[in-house]
Amino acid sequence: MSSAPAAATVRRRRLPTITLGKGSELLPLLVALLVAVIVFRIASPYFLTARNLTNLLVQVAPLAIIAIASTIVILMGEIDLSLGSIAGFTGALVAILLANEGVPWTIALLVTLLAGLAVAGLQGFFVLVGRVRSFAVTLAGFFVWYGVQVGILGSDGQQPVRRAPLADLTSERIATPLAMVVVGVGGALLILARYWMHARDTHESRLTQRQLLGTTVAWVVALAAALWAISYLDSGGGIPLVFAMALALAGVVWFVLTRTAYGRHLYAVGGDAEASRAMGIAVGRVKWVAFATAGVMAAFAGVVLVSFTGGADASTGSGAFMLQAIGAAVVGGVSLFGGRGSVWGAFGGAVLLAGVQNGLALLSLDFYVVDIALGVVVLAALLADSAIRRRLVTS
Amino acid sequence: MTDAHVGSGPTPAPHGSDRVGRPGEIVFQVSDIHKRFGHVVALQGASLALRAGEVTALVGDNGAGKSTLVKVMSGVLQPDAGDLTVAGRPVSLRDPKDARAQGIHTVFQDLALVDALSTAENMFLGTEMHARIGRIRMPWLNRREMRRATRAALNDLGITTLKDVNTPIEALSGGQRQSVAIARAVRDRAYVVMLDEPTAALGVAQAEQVLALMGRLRAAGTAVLVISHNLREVFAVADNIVVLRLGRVVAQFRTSETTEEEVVSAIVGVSRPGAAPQEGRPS
Repeated sequence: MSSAPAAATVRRRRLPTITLGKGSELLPLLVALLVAVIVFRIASPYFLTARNLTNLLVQVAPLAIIAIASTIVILMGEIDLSLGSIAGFTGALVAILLANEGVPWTIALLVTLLAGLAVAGLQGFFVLVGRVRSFAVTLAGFFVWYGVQVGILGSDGQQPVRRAPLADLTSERIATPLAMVVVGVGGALLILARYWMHARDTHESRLTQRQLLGTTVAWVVALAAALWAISYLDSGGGIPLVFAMALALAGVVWFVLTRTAYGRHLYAVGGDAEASRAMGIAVGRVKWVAFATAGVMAAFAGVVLVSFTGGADASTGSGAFMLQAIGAAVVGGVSLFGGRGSVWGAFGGAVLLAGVQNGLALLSLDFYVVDIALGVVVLAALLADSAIRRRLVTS
Repeated sequence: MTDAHVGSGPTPAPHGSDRVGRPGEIVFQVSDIHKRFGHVVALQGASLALRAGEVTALVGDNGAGKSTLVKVMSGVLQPDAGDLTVAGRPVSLRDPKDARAQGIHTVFQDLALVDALSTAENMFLGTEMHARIGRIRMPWLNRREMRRATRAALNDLGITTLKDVNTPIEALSGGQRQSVAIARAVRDRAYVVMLDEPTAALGVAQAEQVLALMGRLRAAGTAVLVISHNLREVFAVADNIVVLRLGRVVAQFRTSETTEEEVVSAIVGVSRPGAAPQEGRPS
């Protein structure tokens, strides 16, 4: 009789220590990714081919960029429903600008990114100064920027883009030797730096020597896997430049969110705005910067989308695209209540959702099945996240 | 390599010393404070003096004006009239940052801690340390130094129940959270620490921890003001008891020279002998 409650107690104590560890919130996502890979590999022999995987990485990029942008906004306890239509509007803008041979591509890109900054910044202004909920302001923005997008494209409803280099953004590949050197050397330096930082002062570290060795071995294995993946993708054309750019963007945002005062303030504002204000944090400024930054990223995603589809049209950056990005963030463990989650989670969520779409497309299933499957994946992720957090609170 | 360094740390407190006054000296005084909210008169001529190395308890019935007075003393509210002096110098506290710059720290009931952040992250929230290379301030944080300083601050206060400063606040007990909030308050050379109902939401053992912490603050020469409804705790920890009723200080006692009955009488407004004159130091 006594052993069962004791076992239950042990289980209750162990689970939170897993969920509290940095990065452990990504565990459900990694399991889901593994399951998706196994299922689609069984269902379609084409799924894991290098050619399909490089295509998948291109598809991931715009979704991941918008998911990262959404994550920044969600982390501070707000939501931006307009990022998809900002991507559509800015995609149309860059397409129109590039259609004019007199406009250098650099100027076109700069103007587009500034347009993203301006419209998202304006919405942030309405949220903070007008004291209107971000849900309402960005919902209105969703309609407005979609309307502007259609207006810019005119009666044709589309604008092809053929000028390099922006038009070739999604077709460019990184030379495999270069990718191997960058990832190999960079990864090795990161592992060494991490090991040194933990080992130099063991009482500062939460890791025991054994744990430190274990995680270092895990990092080395991950690096080896990454190098193997790069060499495998070489036969499919190599790593897409746009995926590497999305990955680099995620890295920069991760650094800002976790290693700078601004990032810490963003998490704090999302976790408890009143407490943050009491500690002297300029809550309004933190929020406005986040809205504006997300707008710039949405504009960049718009450029990537235009490159991907060969031009802008009224369907670029739709509402469904936006909701997928929010779904990716949620699947990756970003809490819709703010203050919790990581940019890598959102990135992984984007990979999962794009992978599910890709895998189902290979099975030649109807579109409605794909939508249903995406909804089920998001719901399952939310339920798993909720179950873990409930366990955490009750233990 | 990055050096350990206090980057955008707190504003140094006045005089640059670790204490404003010797034990028993008045370090913070408010005089004749008036505050109204529309037609509601919250404070009408309240006066109070806090002394280095002493714990003063502010007691009174609901609506007596305790929280309003503490908010005025911590810069959250501006008085309609009245004077505030720190170490004998008149000051104007426009906001809590002003108060903190004067070495006056307040721990409100909600503690102002962010649950999802760790103890160390909360400890330096808004006053993060940046890494430096030589004399150049880097844009990234010196997380290692902040963890070390957090451990040192907790150790200085004898807080031993917190083993890992990376633990999120949400995983701490009520007493531990209160301890973190107090440790954060006193980390920056706090001459005055004001605690609003610090034990209200705590169990007996956790409340004892917090009371012990107040004792250690007193021993370190800090002037402590505590709002409490719990007279048993007040008598356990306070040197002085100030009774507020209808926005006025109606009585002040030395804890060692009074009884719970006497204090209760002052709170409810029943005249009893032994209460000190309103504006005088407790005898």
